[in-house]
Amino acid sequence: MRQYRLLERQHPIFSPLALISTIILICGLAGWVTVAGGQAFSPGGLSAVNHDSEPLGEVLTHAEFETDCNQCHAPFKGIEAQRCERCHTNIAQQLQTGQGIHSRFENVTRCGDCHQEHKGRSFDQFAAALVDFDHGLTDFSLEKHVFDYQDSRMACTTCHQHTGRKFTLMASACADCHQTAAADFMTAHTAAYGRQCLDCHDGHDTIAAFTLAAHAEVFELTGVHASTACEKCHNDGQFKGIASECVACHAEPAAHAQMFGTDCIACHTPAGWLPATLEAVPFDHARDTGFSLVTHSTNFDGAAFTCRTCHPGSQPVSFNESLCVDCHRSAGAEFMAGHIAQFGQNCLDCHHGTGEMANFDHNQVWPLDGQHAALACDSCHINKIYQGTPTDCVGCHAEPAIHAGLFGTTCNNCHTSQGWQPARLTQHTFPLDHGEQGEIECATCHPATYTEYTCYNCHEHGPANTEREHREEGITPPQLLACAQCHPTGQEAVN
Amino acid sequence: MTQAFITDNRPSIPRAATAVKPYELEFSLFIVVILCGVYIAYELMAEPSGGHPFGHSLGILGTILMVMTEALYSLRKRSSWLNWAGPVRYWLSFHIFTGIVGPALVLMHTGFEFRGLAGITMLLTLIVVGSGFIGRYLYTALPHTLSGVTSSHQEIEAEIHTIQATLSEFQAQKPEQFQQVVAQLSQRTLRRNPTLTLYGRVFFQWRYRRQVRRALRQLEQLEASQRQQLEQLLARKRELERQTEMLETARRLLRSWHILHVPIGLTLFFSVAVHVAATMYYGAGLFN
Repeated sequence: MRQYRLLERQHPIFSPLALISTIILICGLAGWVTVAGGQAFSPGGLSAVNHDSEPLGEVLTHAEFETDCNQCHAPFKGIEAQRCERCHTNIAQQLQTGQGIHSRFENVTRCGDCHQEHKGRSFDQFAAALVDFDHGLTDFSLEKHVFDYQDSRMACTTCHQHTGRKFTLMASACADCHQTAAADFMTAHTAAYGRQCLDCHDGHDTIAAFTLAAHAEVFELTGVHASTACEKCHNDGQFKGIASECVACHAEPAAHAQMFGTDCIACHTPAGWLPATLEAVPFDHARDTGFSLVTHSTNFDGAAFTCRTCHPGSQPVSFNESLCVDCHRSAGAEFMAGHIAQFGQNCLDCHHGTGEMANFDHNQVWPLDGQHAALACDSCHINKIYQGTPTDCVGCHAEPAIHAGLFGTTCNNCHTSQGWQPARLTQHTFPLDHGEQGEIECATCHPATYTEYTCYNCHEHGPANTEREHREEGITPPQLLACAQCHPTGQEAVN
Repeated sequence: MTQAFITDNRPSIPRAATAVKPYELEFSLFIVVILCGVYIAYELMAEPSGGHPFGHSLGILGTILMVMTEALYSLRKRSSWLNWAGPVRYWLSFHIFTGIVGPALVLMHTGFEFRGLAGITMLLTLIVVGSGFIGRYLYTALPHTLSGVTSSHQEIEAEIHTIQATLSEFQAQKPEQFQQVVAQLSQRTLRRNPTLTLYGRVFFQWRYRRQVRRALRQLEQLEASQRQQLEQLLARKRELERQTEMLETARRLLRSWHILHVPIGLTLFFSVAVHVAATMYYGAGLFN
């Protein structure tokens, strides 16, 4: 208990015992740090692995200056590339001249990002850096070279020989490997282009280094050609001697019917088969000829329609309407005979390809004005019989009973196509407005028929009075019924 | 200090003012487990060494927590003008929390590579943490009020007396067999070696409670709630009695423990300071 009593009276910080203990501990620690130097702060041993026999900066490995932190670390700045380059002069020279792989790195001043240290004596900085090395910086990506044809993971030595830090691409590495997968292709390919694979290939795609601009010197790859796989034209590994004419790849389609020749570019562009142009004008048969081909895709015998079907001449624009008749006669000879007899052979005057009678002008045969304009065709052309349709009015309109057969059948003497009424009374000599009361209703004077009339419906004088007055003039009662003979204008008779 | 033990249908549980149940240990361990999960997940993706941003961040955060561990608690404990900042008891809980989580972060920061000054710093950290656990054990041997102030001998005896009075009142209404069992359980026994009592108190207390439970189970006339309260009363009384036995010993040991703990702690902070200064000077980790 004595030692407890000694201790319990001590202040944990300011008592002599505590102070001395603290000072001894701290000084001991500080002394050890001083003696150990950089070792005290080193998070791990420096690499003793050496790939080159030649010393750099008078040392072979980093382990030789392990206690001198300032060789690499700048005070309050960390690892400085300049300090690395004091020994690695070859890298410094590469950076100055823009040569070598290091000159291609974006953050080349951060050496430690790739070449880690303090990982122990046996740590191979160079090998570790290669693990995350972006091979694309060499202008050849390994994107498509992760596994070989046997599905084995590819290593650096699959393609490279290396001595020390230097990796050299084996001359036949590419060809030898690819030969195993496509011997015929590679034989032809290397015969055509040689074995300098990297001149054209960068690992991303088949021929990335071979640009479209370079291809354009031989054949311009625009439009659909830009996205066409190389082997579509260069099959069997053939790259040389490929014809640049369209017909070398594109056979003339059956629809052409050998009418248009092989100067494809006159109508077509690399952008696609359609739209095509005819004589440098975008061609649309319906728009440009007024005749649509929507109902002319196949013939009556089921055969595909071609240009040549209707344009058998040497020039595509030549056309004879007798071809229409000849073809349609095969489907309905009797119909066509009657049709031609009635309408003639100028088919396109009425027909434009989308319907049967689109171009037909009825006015050329019979004007459809007035009330006739709104009539349905079959009002006159019953059962779609067009031939023999009468053109005079009585063919459709029977004379009404009120006419009493007196007005004849030349209807347009009085009527128009606007309607039955108003009718023009060209033969009515008696003034319709003789009483200055405007035109009066027909029935005022013609209560029964238009052939009979009476004046007593207006005039107040009755039959007896009229008889007495006209007797003085020697006019007998039977004659009184023909008022208009003596009063043709409704006025008092002079004689 | 102790409320009367009432034997009606709703007896109240006597609560000792010195009874403080800390949960900072459980919470700290829970946080450490989470951090371990994060560390393992990161390890699967990368190498979380001290020189990498993640590993370096662990070290910085751990250091800050460790500095807070010592500075804030010591300041609060020794400065009466900081009374407004809450009871010392809470600051001790925070001290324990940061004292566990901080070193755990620092341990992860090392990447489990112990060499040089960093290795010594880690060793000192483990010593201080281990010493802290011992200190905590000694501290909890002393009875404390809710505000964290150590209770005096007289206060403990007064609380024992109150509990004994409650027990006597309760016994008076019970059969003789009951009185005999309770009297036997509440009989005060003194150990000759207070140091043994101090170090073995957790075991002794566990053993006593087991003995009480077995004895009370034989008393059929007790309701379950009464049995539980009686068990708590007896256990509390025995704990207080034990504290009176080891009170002086615990105080002396705790003061002596400070003489060992604090100098090592100060050395640790010196070591941390040099380590941080060197890291900044050599531009390592986040300082590169």
